[in-house]
Amino acid sequence: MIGYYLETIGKQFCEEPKDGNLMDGITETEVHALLRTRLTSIPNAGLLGWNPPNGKTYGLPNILIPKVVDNHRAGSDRVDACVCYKHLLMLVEIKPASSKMDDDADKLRRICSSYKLEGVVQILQRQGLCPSPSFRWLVPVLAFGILDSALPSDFLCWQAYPGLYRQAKGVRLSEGANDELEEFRVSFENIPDNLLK
Amino acid sequence: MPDTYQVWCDKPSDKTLVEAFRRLSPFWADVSSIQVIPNSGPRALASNFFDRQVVSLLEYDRPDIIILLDGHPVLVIEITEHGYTGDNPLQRFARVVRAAELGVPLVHFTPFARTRFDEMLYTDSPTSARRVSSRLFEGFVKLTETYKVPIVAMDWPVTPRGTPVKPDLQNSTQLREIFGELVDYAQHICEHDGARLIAGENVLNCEVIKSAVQATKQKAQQTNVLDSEIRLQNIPYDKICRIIANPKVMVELLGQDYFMKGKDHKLIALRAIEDSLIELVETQTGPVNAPSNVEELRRILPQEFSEKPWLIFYSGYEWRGQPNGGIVTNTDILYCRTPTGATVKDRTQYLAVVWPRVFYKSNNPRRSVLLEELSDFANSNGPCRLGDLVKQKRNLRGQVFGHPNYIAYRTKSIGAWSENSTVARIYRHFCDLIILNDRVLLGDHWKTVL
Repeated sequence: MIGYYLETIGKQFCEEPKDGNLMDGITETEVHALLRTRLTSIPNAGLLGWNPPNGKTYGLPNILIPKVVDNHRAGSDRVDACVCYKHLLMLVEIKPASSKMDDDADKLRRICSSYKLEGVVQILQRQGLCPSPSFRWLVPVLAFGILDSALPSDFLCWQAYPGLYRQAKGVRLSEGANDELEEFRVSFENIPDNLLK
Repeated sequence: MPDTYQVWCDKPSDKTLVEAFRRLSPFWADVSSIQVIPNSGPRALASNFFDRQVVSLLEYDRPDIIILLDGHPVLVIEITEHGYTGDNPLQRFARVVRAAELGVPLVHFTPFARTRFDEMLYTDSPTSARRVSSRLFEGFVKLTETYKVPIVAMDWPVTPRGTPVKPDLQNSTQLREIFGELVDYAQHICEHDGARLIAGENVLNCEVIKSAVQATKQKAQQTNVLDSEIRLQNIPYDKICRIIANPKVMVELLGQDYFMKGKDHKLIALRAIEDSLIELVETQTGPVNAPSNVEELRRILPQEFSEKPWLIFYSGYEWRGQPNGGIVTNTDILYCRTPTGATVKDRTQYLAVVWPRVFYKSNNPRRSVLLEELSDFANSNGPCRLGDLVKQKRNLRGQVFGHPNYIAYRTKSIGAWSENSTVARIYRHFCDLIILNDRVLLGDHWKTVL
């Protein structure tokens, strides 16, 4: 069933047969497409930026976060997706499989600890984006197509198909944030298959 | 029978954009198919019987969008949000040249002036917009005049912060505000001039095309605020031979100061030059051991090389396709061709590339040593010759020795040549000589002389 499903989605969203990250039949491009469709189907969720595997997107900006090492500019990090939902600002890294996300996790940890919510909002504004000033929580997310490893304890994790949402034990947010995350989870997991197809 | 239009795209995102254009006019709505070109090189595509005329356009590099009328390409569109000055705007130039060579009009859609991300990310204050180097537009004008086919540029509007405006692709009004000029021009070329192009007629007398060509000519006449960092020098052939015999001559040519300012990664190239030694030289009869003296070198290389002046392009980049390939094609078209020179043989001067960060042999022991040194230094600031160069630079500039910027370990930092790569195909086609760290290569047009 999953194989059939992915094949259908793959044909619809990605005509590139491979993008160099093929993992058990699902490519990074396909995971991006599945996830993007899922997220744009969630009421009140918005996409501020998206960085597809080939880096090219016409409808949404790429999101860059400056990297500073020893007080020197050291280029910038690209974040795969930036998603907003009510008071939540979610930075998302995407890979075909969860086992390939160690570097992505390090990147998100570095960004979140260096900039916190206020810093990230400021950087988005500098890029000409105007995210809602009412954001209260910055949430790092790892998203993948295949779950083939233990998940880190300090991230939200999304599986693009089936729509599974996991809030790891180490993710501690205030009660208000958890309420909004719970609403988001219900929407995320209940996108009907026909919408994705 | 009505005309049938097909569109081939490089990436799924290009396809998504063209599909959004369907909302903008009946012409776009009636395009019969919009597909993504399979992810293979031109030779593999050709051997799989992919559309011959599309494959021909991919010979040097993959354009973003190709429109076909009844199976014949009638327009190529390049779309990039990366404007900037210097080397970057030129990086797609090889695709542009290929379209012109095949008589297919091209539109290059890009912000003519935009802010750089690496500047705006660090400040809330306005940062100045960087204008695209006039060399891009000059190249378009030269191609238009040489091949009698319209190669034009159009401006991608930017936000008040200087970044390209990106539309909601579901919103026709926003789409038209940004891409309106482009889609109308494309439609005009297809409907008004498509059949004439297929018949091989000159379409430059079309009023709409004339106007677009004229606007591009005006851009070509602008003065660049910042000079490009592209390193070009006119030198006599004798000096080319001296560089091959002793690659350190390249440092004298550029001047030590060139390496001691700007980004630290220039020092990786300087370090590679210090260790460079040409071991083999390709001749028209095959590779031979590099001679130790200039006279012998002149004897084994084509005799015609001494008959014209030379232009040398120094690439301090790591092993990568862009912008290297685009710079070389732009340099060839603008500076090395005769006024109507349609092929690389129509030269006023020869073109050589010096690329010290690339070895012909991936397993050359000197490459391994340089990579090991780079790894040690980038990861642990360990003592080494590269570290000495960074210290020397800091001392010269009165700076404290700290973490080097733009020095990271990657195997392509000291790269290895691959004949199947896009950049190798382009260099082999457009250059007369390619001087790598360990070998000198001859342009393809010299090998086929025999």
